[in-house]
Amino acid sequence: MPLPALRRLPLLLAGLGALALCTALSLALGARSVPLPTVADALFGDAHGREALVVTGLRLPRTVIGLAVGAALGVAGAVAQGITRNPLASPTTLGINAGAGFAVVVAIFALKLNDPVEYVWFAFAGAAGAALFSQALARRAGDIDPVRLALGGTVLQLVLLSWTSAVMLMNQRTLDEARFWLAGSLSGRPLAVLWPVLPTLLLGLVVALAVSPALNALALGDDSAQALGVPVTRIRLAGGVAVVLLSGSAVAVAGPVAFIGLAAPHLVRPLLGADHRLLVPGCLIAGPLLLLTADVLGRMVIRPSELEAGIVTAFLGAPLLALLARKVAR
Amino acid sequence: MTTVNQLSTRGLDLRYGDRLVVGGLDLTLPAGAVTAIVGPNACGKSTLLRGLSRLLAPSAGTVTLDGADIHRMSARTLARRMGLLPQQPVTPEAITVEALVRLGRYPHQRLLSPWSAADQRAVDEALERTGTAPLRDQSVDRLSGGQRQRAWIALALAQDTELLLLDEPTTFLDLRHQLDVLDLVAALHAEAGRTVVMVLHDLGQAARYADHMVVLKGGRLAAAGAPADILDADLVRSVFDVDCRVIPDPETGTPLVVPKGSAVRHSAASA
Amino acid sequence: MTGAVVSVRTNRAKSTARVRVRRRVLLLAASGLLALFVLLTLSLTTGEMRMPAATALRALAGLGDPGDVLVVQEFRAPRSVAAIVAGAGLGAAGCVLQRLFRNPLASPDVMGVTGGASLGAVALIAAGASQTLIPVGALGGGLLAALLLGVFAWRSGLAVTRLVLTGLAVQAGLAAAVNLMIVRFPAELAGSALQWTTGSVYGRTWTEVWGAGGAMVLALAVALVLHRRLAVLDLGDDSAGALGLNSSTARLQLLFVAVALASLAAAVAGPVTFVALAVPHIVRFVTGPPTAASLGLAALTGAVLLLASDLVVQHLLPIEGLPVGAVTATLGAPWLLVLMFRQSSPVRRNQA
Repeated sequence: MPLPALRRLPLLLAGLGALALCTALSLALGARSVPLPTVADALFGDAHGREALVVTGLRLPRTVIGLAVGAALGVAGAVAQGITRNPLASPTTLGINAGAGFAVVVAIFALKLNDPVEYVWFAFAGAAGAALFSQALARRAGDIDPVRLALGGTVLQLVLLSWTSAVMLMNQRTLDEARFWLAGSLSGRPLAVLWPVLPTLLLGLVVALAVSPALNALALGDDSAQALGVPVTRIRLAGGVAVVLLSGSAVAVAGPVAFIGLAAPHLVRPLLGADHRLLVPGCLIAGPLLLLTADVLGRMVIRPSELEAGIVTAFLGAPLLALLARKVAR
Repeated sequence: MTTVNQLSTRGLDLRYGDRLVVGGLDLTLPAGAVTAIVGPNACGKSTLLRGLSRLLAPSAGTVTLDGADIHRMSARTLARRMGLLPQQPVTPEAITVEALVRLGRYPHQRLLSPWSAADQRAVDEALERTGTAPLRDQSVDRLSGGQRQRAWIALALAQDTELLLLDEPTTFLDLRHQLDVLDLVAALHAEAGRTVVMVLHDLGQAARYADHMVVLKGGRLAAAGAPADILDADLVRSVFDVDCRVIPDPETGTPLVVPKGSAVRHSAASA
Repeated sequence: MTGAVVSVRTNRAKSTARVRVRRRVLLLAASGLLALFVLLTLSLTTGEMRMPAATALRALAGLGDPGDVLVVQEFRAPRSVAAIVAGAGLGAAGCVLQRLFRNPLASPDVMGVTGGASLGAVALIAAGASQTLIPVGALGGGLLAALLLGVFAWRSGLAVTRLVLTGLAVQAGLAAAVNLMIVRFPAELAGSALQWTTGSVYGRTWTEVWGAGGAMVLALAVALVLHRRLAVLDLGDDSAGALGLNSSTARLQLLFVAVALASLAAAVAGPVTFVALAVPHIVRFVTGPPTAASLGLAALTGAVLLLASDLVVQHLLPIEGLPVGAVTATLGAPWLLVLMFRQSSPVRRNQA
């Protein structure tokens, strides 16, 4: 690795450490907090008490899913921002989450589904559809002012949300099933939900990491990148595919979780710089960190009841976007 | 208080954020004359103009028009006395020349008053003076650079002011259009005795068209006076860091700056 | 070229472009008013109890069969008038916002006003308030959103980009709050909360309509007075300042008026989406770049559009109780497609 990267190594390690801590907390804290030694016992030893079951049966799947989804969303956000050269791009602001939500609600309504495992493929399809749509928009518009892309994504989101609401109102059962899924949550998802999308998730990660060096050149502008020998359209396409795979997988598993894709790169950039070779792996850590933190907060804030992770991230993400607004615009 | 239209500053400090761009400026711009503000890049020329036109509030010192502090006046009152052509004006999409020029009447319109005959007259006159009357129905963003600049000058004219401030009116224009704009400004000054203040890059143009020159360097006044009096080789060297000869312009007799050739560039300097 | 200019046109000859635009404006106004009248009559005559137009109009005035009068006066008329009032407010709000932000996608939906109105309404539903108070909640919510927007976006002036982005943030936050409530509610309440967040004019009473309607007229009047400033603001902050307009103050005033219009519309119809977004484009499509009459035309078109959508929802669609907001969203989607794929950018910085 080149020298500047080596300098950042301690930061990356610190990030990994923070993530490990967060994972431990995620396993320990909750409506009924389990002391850490018991957690260790439950995972590696053979404790079988009630607390151990809570850890292995409920919290472990939840944490693992949080790690996977957070990583996917974080990297998707970094790549989306890279290929659109837009600090506001993310699965949320590009309408991907809304697309998945709509597809799932239609599936619940039309096919009378009621198990999250069944939603997976529809969520994927919806996310892919919306992602393709906004990618096409971003590509067509070329180098545009960040505001336009963000606005376009929001408008797309509003359409999809309206349609989603309309479908939900068409019958009571749909409403009941859908509204919980739509909040975006890590709870109530068995690990079985993760397995089907694991291949796509990993594929997306691989493509994202492969594309990262080229994203640095892309940041200089299409013309400059081309002059440097970067196949601009192909890289954009590949990046777009990565975003679709990653965010589609994430939404399929946990429902639409807002803002992780937007926040992670902005958190990592001041620490690790804008070099995508560091940024993307950094988001691989920052994403889960953010998501697990939100999930833990959701568990603790209104004990013994829980706040869905998706709602917590939305509440935290909105002020972030407002702060970004103050930075991005004079 | 007599209305002479004399702009002056005392101890003027202008800042962008924490950065001091213009410092301690004492200046008097002669009424009824054409003044050119010149200086190297980032010397504060445009900033000074913005300070003079009330777009930028001074962090210290005052700007007065006929002795009255312009920041104490209402914006509308000042707008009726001073017109501005900003640098690179923002043209709204698909606006016709006439619609653009009509906006110049804004300071004169009262809240509920309809468009009056006086307003229409001012607009028509402005279009005539700038030669943009034949273009009145055309979209401003489809015009050539020179035509567009003239449309914007027409807007400032319709405002019917005694003072006209122009921020780099000739930048980005080709030679023909540069001269057109400057000739127009000179004509506007000549016929109605308007006070004109413009920021220019080209020293030769400034010398030709201005009665009074203000030279800035690093946000401070380097020299002020008639071009013939102040424009000499020493000034150009100290302000622009360029070795030159200043000779009388063969056409107009005003000072013309001729930079000295450098050995690297001109191998045929001798013989 | 300069200097002595030979005058080609005399003062009294009107430019043909202006005449053309004026003709189009009148055409749109006339057809809009006609459509409004036709639709209004249609709304009064159709339904479970069909009645001929003459009967319906007489019933509106209180004459004729008491049963007819009841249906027309208590059920159909308030609903239609509510749609007209809300549509007008939304159209006008969208017109102001799009010009204020110089962006074809700006609308109260995106700025957070819709989200705020939803939140206000849903919060009152959660508190178990009576049906009549909920519109007040919507109004309050919309204004709260605007307040948040103003507070976060103000930083020694109101720059356009910052305003838009902050609006997006406010909208996202408020939508999250609404989502939270919908998830937390018991099933029956969740349904009615969702109804409210999609926008509907079902079951409006005269008190609600008069209240919002009166305020709407006032807001529209203020908007018309301030409308001239929009053209000056379009010239950029520097030129506007030179013309004696304080850009930030003007923007704030216009923003407030637009928010008031949208909030009042939400008070009557809930957060109906897309009317505010689409209407200014329709007006522009017919009459060209913004004129002094644009605002009025936008209000008129909005009223027609919403009333038509409501009629579609009531009588053409087989689904019971579908909110009008769902229809406007569906009609709005093709607009969205067209808008988002067009190349033209909002304001060009011209360089010679």
